[in-house]
Amino acid sequence: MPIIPQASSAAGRVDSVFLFILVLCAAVLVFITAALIYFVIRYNRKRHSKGEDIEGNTWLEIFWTAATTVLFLVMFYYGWTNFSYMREAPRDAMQIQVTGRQWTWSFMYPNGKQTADLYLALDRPVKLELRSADVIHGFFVPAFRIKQDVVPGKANYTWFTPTQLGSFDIACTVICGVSHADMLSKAVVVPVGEFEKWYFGDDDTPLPGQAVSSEPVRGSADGGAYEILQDRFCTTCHSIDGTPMVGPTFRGMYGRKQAVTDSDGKERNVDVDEDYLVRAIQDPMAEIMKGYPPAMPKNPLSDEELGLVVEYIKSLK
Amino acid sequence: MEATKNHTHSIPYRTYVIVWLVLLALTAILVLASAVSRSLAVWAMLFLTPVKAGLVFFFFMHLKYEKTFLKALVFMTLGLLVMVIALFFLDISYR
Amino acid sequence: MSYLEEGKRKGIAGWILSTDHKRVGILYLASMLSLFFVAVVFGVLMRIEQMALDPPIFPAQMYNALFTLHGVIMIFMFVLPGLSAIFGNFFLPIMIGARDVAFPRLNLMSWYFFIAGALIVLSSLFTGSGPPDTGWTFYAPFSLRSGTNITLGVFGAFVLGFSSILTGLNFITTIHRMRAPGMGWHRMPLFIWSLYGTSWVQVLATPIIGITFLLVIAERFFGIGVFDPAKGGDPLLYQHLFWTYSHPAVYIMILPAMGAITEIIPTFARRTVFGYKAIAYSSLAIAFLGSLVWGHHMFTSGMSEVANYAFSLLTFLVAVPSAIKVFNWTATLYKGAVRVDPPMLYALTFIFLFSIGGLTGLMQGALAVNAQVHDTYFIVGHFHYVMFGGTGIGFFAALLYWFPKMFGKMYSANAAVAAWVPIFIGFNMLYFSMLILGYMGMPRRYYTHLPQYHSLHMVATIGSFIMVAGVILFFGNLIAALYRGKKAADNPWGGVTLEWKVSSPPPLENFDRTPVIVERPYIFNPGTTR
Repeated sequence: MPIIPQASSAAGRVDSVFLFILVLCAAVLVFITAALIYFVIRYNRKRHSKGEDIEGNTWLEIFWTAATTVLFLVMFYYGWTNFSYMREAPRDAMQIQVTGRQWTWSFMYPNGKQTADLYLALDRPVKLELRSADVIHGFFVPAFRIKQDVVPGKANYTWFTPTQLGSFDIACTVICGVSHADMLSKAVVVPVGEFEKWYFGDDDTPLPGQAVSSEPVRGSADGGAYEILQDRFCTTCHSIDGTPMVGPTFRGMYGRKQAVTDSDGKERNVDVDEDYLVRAIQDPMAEIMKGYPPAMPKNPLSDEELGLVVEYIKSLK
Repeated sequence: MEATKNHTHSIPYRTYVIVWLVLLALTAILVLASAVSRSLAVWAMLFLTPVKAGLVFFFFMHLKYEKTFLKALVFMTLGLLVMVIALFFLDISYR
Repeated sequence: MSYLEEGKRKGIAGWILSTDHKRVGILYLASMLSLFFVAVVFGVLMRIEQMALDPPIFPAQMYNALFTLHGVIMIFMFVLPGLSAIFGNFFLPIMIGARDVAFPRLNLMSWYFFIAGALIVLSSLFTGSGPPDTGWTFYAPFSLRSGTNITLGVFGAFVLGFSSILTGLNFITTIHRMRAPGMGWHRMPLFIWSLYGTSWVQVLATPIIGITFLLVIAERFFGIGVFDPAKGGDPLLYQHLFWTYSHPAVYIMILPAMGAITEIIPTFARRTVFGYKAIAYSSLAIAFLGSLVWGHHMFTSGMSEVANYAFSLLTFLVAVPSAIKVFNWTATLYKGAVRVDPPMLYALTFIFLFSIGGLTGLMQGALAVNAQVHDTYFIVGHFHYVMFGGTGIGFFAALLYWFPKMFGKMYSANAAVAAWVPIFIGFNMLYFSMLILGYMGMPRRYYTHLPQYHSLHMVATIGSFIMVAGVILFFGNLIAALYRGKKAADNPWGGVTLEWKVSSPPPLENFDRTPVIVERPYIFNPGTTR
C-alpha cells in the first residue's frame, strides 16, 4: 500500500502496525455505521411507532468492555514491540552527529567530515545523535518512518538501516521559528563503494551521488567574510544578491534610509551605517527592519569577524 | 445553607496556633533540607508538602468537621495528584 | 414572562450585570460565537496559504501567527469552555430542578474573566512586536526566545483559566447541593454527569497550566531558567506540565458534547437510554484516566522508554470508556421509534465523525505508528475529527436541540438539513486529506509544502470552502429564526427531562414550584421497561 517509499528497516514494521490497526478500526467503523443506519431505517417512527424502554444488558456491557479492552491491548502490544526495535541500535551502527539550528541541519561523520545533506551507505545501520544549538527541532525522514525531537541540552538518538537507493526528504517537525518550513534537507542513500570513496577521500573529493558542487557567488571585498556568514548561518535568511528571503538581503543595504521598529514597538527611521550594522548584528531584536519578522537569533560575532562582515556588507552594492 | 448552621464548631485558638507552629517547623525543615542536598530537598518536598497541605485542609479549612463523603473526595483528588507525580518520575528517573 | 423579557435591569445592563444563569449562558453564546468566527477566518486564511507553492500568498511570519491564534482562540475560547459554559450554564440548573447555580455572582464574574482573557489575547495582535508565532502549545525554549508578543498571549490564556476553574467549582457545588428533592445521583440526566466529570477536570487541571504559563512569563522577564536548558532548565518539563493540563483539557472539550448527544439520542429514538450507568460512569472514567495519559504527546521528545510504554498503555485504556459510550448510543436506537430531525441528524454525524477521530487516535497511541505520524497533518486531521467532528458537531447538534427552548423560536428544519450537506462533505474533504497527507509525511505548521503534497492540499482547501459555506448557512438559519422564526412549542421534540417541562423560553426563576423527582430519567414508554 505504500503511498511513500519504504526506504528503511523500520518502514515495513511501522507500516504493518499501521495497517493492522487500520483494518481493525475500519471494521469497527463500518460495523457501527451500518448498525446506526440499519436501526434508523428499521426502527423509524413510521414503521415502529412505539419504542421499548430497554434499560441495558449487563452481559452485553461486560462483553463489549472486555472485547474492546483486549483488542486495544493487542494494538498496544504490536505498537510497543515494533517501537522497541526502533529504539535499540545495533553495536556496529555508524554514529553520525546531527545538529539542528534555526533553520538548517548539519551532519558530522565519525572522521570529522561535515555535510548539509545526510549521506548514507545502503544497508549499513546508522545511529544518529541529535543535538540542538537553539530551540527544539524535530528530525523526520518520512520515507524511513523515523522521527525524533532534537532538544537543546539533551542528546536524543534514533537509528535505522537504509534499504533503498535514492534521495529522501528530511524535515523539521517542531515549530522553531519563521523558517520552520524551510528547514529541509535530504538523506542521500548511495551504494557502499561510492560512500566509502567519499568518506575516505580527502577534502576535495566530490560528495557522493552528485556532480561537483557549484561555487557560491561572492562579493568583491571578501577576505573570508562569506565563510563567516555561512558558518553563523546568516545566509539561511539573508541573501547577498538581492534574492528575497526571510531576512532583508545584504545587497544595497548599506547607506540607505530604513524604517525600523524598536523593542517598545515604536517606529522610526535610521540610516543604515556602520553603527547600525554593528547594532543589528550584535543585538538583533533591538531594532527590527520594517516588513521583516522579529526572528533573528542572537549570535554575536567577535570584533575581528564583525569588522570583516561589515566591510563585506558595505561592498555589496 | 442549613447544613453549615448545624456545624458551627468552636475550635479553640490553641489548636490554630499549634497547627501554625507545626507548619512553620515543617517549612524550616524544608529550607534546611534544601541546603543539605538536592535529592534530599526533592524527597522532603514530595513528602512534607502534602503533610502541610493536609494540615491546612483539615484545620484551617475545616475539612476535619465535614462529612466522610467530602473527605473521600478530597483524598481521591490527592491520590490523583500522587499518580500524576509518579508518572513524572517514570520519565525523570529512567532517562 | 420569560427570562428574555423580565429582569432586574433594562437594556444592555440587564444583560452584562445579570446573574441569571440563563442570561450568563447567552452572554457566553454571543461572545464565543464571535470569537469562533474570528478563528474560522484565520483557519480559512491558512487553507488559502496552502494553495500556492512559491512564492507564498502570506509571509511565513504571518502564517505562524495565524495558526497560533487559530489554535489559541478555538481551543481556549470556543471548544474548551463552549458547551459547558453555554449549555451547562443555561440547562444545568433547569435539568436538576434548581432556580440558579450555587454562586450566581461568581458565575457572572467568570464571564468577565473570560472576556478579559479574550481581549488580552486579541490585543497581542495589535501591540508590541506582533502576534505570537509558537503554535498554541508555546513550547519552550522557542516561546522564551521568540521576539513576538508571547507574554500577552500566555497571560490571556492564564486569565481564561480562572474563568474555567470558577465555572467548574460552581457546577460541582451546584450538582452536589442544589438537586431537586428526589433527584438522586442515578436520577440525574446524563448531560449533568458529563458536566460533573468535566468540572472536576477543570478545577484540578487548570491550575497546572496557570502556573506553567506564569513560569514562562517569569522566565521571559527575569530569566529564571526553569525551562531553558541554556540556564539549567529542562524543556521537557515544560511539555510535561503543559500536557498534564492540556490532555485532560481535550476531555473537558469532548465530555459535555458527549453528554449533549446522550440527551438528544433517546429523545429522538423515543425510548430510554441504553446503559445509563455505563454512560454515567464512563464519563467519570474518562475524566480520571484522561488525566494520566498526557505523555502520549511526547513519544518522540526523548522521554524515557519506561514512560513511553506506560503512557502508550494508559492511552489505549482511556479509549475503552469512549468506545463504551459509542456502543451504548448505537444500542439506544434498537427498538426505538426513531425520527431523524435536524438535531438527531447532527448527533448521528457526531457519532460517525467522532468514531473516526477516536480510531485514528488509537493509531497514534501505538508507539511505532506514532514515530511516523507525530507532528504531521495526521495529528491535525485526527484532532479536527475529534474537536470539530466531535465537539463542534456536538455543539451544533446541541444548539439545534435546545435553540427553541433558549429563544422560544423555531428555525427552518430544511435549511438546517441543507447546511448539513456541505458541512459533512467539506469536512471530510478537508480533514481526511489531512490524515493521508500526514501519513505521507507532511509536517504541521508549515507555511508552504513540497510539491508532492500539493494535490491533496488543494482538495483540503476546496473542502474548507465548502464546509465554511455550510457553517454560514447553518448560523444564518438560526439568526434568521431569532427575528422571523415561528414561536416554538414548549416541547417540540417530545423530550422528558426537566427543561422540557418549563415554557419556551423558560421563566425568570425556571420553576413556579420546585419539582419533585419520583423516577429515573428518560422514561418514554412507561410499562415497557426491561
